Amino acid sequence: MVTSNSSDAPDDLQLAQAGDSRAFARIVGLHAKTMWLSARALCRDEHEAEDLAQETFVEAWKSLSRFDGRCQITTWLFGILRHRFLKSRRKPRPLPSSDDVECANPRASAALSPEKQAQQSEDAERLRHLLHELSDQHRVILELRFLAGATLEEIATLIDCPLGTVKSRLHHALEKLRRARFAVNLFDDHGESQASD
Amino acid sequence: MTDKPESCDAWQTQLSWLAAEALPESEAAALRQHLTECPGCAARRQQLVSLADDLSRLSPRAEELNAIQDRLIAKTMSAIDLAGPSRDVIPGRCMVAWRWLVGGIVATAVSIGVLWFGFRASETPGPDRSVAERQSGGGDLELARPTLRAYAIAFARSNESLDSLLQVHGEQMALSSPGRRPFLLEEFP
Repeated sequence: MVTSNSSDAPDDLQLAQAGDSRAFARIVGLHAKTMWLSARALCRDEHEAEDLAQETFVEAWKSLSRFDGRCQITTWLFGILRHRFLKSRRKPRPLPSSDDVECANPRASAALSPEKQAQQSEDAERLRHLLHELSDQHRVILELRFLAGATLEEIATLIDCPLGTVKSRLHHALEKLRRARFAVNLFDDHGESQASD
Repeated sequence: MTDKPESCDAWQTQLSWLAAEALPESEAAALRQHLTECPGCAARRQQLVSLADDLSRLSPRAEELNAIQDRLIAKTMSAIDLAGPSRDVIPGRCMVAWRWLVGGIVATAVSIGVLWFGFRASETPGPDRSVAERQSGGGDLELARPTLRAYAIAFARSNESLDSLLQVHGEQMALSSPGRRPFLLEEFP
């Protein structure tokens, strides 16, 4: 799902800026999944992610006329999402339980046999476990890129890091996960020494 | 694969970015060329691409995402309806201007009221003050009360003025406490 929502629907945008809430609803529909997945990557809680995404859209509606189109609307929404997330972190809240951070079931393929599906489900569970064993800064980058489909520039906006840092973290996060996933023997592995960030 | 070709070190980060579909095409072409010549890097690339695919599959099912999308639209639109029109569209700007205008008018009115009452309070003479003012003959407010300043002013003017002031203040004392002789007469018989 490495796709980026880059279609900003300029007509809807103009209508929404003129106060048309229906046009804004279409914009929300276009970006809802990305915003929710990104919010979930940040806060690790599905319910909180939904609230966060909703707050982001409401805030966007309130200040829509200030959006000047110099960046993509997704990038602008990510900026708002980040602001809302940081604001929500200032309030004391219980830490998410392990149930909260579990992802939903992986997408099942109807074409696969039950055995294959079971195998795939087991693999996904193991990968999810490995992903959550990564540091937060690595996990967030991978979730934003591969689950939410955010571009590296959008990720940089969302986590307020230079693009170079995002690229570096992406490489190290993938490398750590690859080593864990494929149980790479460091002495047999060709190419590099232990990756670190 | 125990050999470690020096030329491969430079490609490792690009391999990760290629798997994440974040490598510019200009760099991707050179990397693909290297991959055709290096089985080690090609194997690593295969692992990274497989990993990227598996990560993408951790996303919730399409039906779940669609349900979340619908809920988000409904909740957002409901919140927007409650919040009213966008803050910065033209009616909103007018509303903000009106708020500032009304606030300014109220603040000005309160300030004028406070100043007016303060002025009135300082202008309104009390009963003793009016007597002293009337009897001292000068209409001089500073002489209306028996203060050191009042006596200093009267002393500077003339002896008559001082006598008059003593007289006035003595009468004030007599008026305020009828059974008692004026202190000034007691002290300066």
